[in-house]
Amino acid sequence: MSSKSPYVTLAGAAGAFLILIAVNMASGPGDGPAYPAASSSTSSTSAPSSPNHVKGRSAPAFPSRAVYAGHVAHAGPAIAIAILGGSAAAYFCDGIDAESWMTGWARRGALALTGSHRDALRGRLSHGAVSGTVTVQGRTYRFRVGAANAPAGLYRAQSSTGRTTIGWIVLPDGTQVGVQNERGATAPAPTLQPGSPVRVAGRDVVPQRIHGDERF
Amino acid sequence: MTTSLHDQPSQAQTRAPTAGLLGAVGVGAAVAVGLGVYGSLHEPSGHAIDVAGFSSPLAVKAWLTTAALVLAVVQVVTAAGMWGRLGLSSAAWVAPVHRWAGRLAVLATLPVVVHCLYALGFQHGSARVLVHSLLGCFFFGAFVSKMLALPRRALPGWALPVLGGLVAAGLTGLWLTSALWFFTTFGITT
Repeated sequence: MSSKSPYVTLAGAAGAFLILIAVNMASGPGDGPAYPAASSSTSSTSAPSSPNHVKGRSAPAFPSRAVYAGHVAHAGPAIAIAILGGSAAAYFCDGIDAESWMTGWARRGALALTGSHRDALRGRLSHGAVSGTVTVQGRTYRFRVGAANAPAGLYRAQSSTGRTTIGWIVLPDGTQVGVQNERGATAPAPTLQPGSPVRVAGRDVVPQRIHGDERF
Repeated sequence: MTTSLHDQPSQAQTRAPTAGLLGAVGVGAAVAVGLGVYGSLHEPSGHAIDVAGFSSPLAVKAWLTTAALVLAVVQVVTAAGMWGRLGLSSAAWVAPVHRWAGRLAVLATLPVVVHCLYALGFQHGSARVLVHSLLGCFFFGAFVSKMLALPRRALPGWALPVLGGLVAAGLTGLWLTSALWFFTTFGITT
């Protein structure tokens, strides 16, 4: 074996790695379609753009972008799920001190998301609503939630380090359920006025609408 | 050869391989730590270049990691062959296959590690992602160590099998904490 051969391998691997990183840095979000997108609706609301209850054998599929939100069954906490293409992001909070951010995937009408400490969400799309279960801090809740069109939906503000976050679920009837988390210490969130900044870790931050492809 | 001439080179030889091996392992460790530090400090972008034909980046990564794992099996078999097991030591194709299967396997993991590092970062939200993050750093450190150890002369006999074994074990652990999780959660799908 040539004594240079391992160096060739190393150089080739390092070179390919750097090229791939550079390509990723050069492309921003939205460079090229990430997932096969359904025909997009003309409006920018998060309403499902096509009827989901299809008769016949074809399985329902999520619209290319949608947000579903509502209360869990028989309990106060709320859940919001944002879907963009095949990515999904969800937020569970009780408006007092319990919350969980989860991320995962939406595929063929099925949802699978996970968060920290074994928090997880499983859901299925049926007749325009998402039903399923969400497990947070060891407790499992069932839910069935419908579409939440703007200005309802899921919002998040965070500090630059990401260690202080505020999440809000704005329900279709206008009520808000939100929790702020300052490095692990949770408390009810201040009222959200979409578009207005809130104070996060000493700075003014404008809460962002969550679309589904975020990774927390 | 007189005994005095014979003594000098063998003394230098027993000292040098340990230093060479330590150097290789040291550089590998630095690579592992460097990857972990980068993964922790870099703000995850949440996105990376996507590959057409797959439902999601996760699917691409799961299949690439599986391909690397299959090649890792080839690695272990050819390595056993080169070391006299399996009656293959005299076959001329064993060493080139080992080199090229190894290069292909590492190449297959590169898009995966770029996505993991760049878009997701070092994560500790669950045991699975923590182990995966640690193994990811470890695997590339071990791979660098093995590459740097190979040209060293007169290594201890156990050095290459141990380094190669660590690389293979690292990749297996990576596959178990990612691709296996993906296939059991979403089915064996592209």
